[in-house]
Amino acid sequence: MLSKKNLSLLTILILLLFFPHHLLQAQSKVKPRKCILVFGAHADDVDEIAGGTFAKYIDLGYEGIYVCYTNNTAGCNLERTPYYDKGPDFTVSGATGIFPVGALESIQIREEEARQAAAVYGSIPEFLYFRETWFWQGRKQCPIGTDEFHRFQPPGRQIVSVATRSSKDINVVYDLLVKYQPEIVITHALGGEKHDHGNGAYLMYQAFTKAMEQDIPVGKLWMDVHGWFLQKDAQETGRGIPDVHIEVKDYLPVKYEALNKHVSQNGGFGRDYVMGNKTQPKEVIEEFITVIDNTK
Amino acid sequence: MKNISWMKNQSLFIFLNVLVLLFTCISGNAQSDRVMFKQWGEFGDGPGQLKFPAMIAVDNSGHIYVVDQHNHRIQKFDSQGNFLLMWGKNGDEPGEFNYPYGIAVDSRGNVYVSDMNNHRIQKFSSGGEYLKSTGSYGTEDGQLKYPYGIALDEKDVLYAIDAFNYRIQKFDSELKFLSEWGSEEEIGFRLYIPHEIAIAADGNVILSDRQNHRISVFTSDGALVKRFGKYGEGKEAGGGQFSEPHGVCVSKNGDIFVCDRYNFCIQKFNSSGEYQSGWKTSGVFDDSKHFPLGIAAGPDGTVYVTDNYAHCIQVYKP
Repeated sequence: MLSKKNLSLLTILILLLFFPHHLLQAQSKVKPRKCILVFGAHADDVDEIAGGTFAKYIDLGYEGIYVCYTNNTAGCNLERTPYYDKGPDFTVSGATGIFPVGALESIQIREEEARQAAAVYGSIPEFLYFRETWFWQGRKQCPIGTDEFHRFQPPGRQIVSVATRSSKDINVVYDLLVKYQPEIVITHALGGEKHDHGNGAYLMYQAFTKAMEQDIPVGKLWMDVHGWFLQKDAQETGRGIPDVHIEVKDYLPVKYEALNKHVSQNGGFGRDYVMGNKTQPKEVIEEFITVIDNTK
Repeated sequence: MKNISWMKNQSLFIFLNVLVLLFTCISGNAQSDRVMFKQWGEFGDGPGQLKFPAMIAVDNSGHIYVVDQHNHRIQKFDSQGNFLLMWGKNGDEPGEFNYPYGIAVDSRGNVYVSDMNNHRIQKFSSGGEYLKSTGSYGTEDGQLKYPYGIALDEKDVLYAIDAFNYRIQKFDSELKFLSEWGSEEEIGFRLYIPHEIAIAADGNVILSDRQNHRISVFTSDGALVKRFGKYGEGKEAGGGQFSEPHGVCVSKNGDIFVCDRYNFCIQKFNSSGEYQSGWKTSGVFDDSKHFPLGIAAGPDGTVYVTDNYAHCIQVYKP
């Protein structure tokens, strides 16, 4: 026979077992943190796709997370720097060639520049080190699949396109969302303008949906207006029409100061470089497409 | 018979002269006073095998230490190139490495390694036993951002290129911070970071200013003494012209040796920085197969060179 005390305990246990936990979860669903996370492929992509928006939200009290998800082995040509042919006698002594630095140095240089850019916004830099599909070995470009690539094994994780098929690699991004629980995530476009941009966007899409499934408080996923969004179908259905318009006029100086930090890529020319690169920056309004809204 | 013998000798003489002439033509302007004595190493991760060897050092007994960079370890050889021991693996625990770069040996035979991507310098006994380390990522005294080349003076003061802080830091043999000097404008400029360092016989500090294609000499406290060398590349490049000079070392008699990596040669200068001689390392201009990177001089004047792409050590005798 059960004692009175044991009977009470058993009753409590049975009640707990059949308690509708989803109700408990629904009642305790945590809101995302006041945090904006911009998920850029390379060291300057955060600034290029959403620099003004990033600066504005940080000014509004949001925590800013500046993510660079590739290992940046694909290019660091010092001849682009203003010191190459315009400086006084401390510059290259009359060299006429193009001198990319090696893969290890490229990672270091661009990471240091990204840290400086992140500091301009007062944000936290994060580096995920997904591999790019080629790297520089001295002056030689070595694409994936070559003997050089196999031997050198550039430091980093899987290349981004492979990472989208691996739960282990998706979890790297998922863990970032768990850590910061951002209200706003901005990244490149699906099917974006570059291999690693589009694949990185899909990687974030997968991590974001997994976070939602796991009840991690994440808010909205915005994407840059590029890639598939510019295709005829997306335009005709309205799926490629931006629905988020952020006025950033007052934050352009911050955006371009950050861009100026990427000397190895744009020579420290910031806005002039972006304009000269035929990438027309959205000077006053930055626009995005809401791909997921988990706040409703 | 005598005539025939004389003719034979004359033919031999002419043949030898043609050989010398051919060799001179092949080696361009580099007037060699060195010949390759031997070479060892191949790509791999077994004992004696190498993956992208970086810097190299020789102790007072002639033992050779090589930074086996992509195997994240140090290998020790005798002066004949026989494998003795190795230590280290990829990681950030004591005794582990994350892309080690520079190496130096003090008067007692202790080995110092710049553990580049761990932002620290580690000290080991000559047997590879971990002794201590210093450094972490940062800008404070004693902190480092990617230490590149390191060198010791005759009092065992350690000089380290603190690359992304654009400065040279000095430590005592117990790795206690002593002082620092340098700035972006002084030791390179912005991204043009010096890569290797050596201490001259008079105590001056020699830096290979790679992207500026020149060598810079400073006093031990950082006052600029001189710069020498200018850009020149290819078979037309003369003595004293560089294309991305990298490794640098000083021999016992004060000569300065520089790895001129895109001219695929070693250049020798006297202690005043005047060009003396040079020699091709691989003999061919092929930046996909050869890449002379690190250099060290032994007590007997033998010069050791790491070929970063051929994954081997080359030995040159005077």
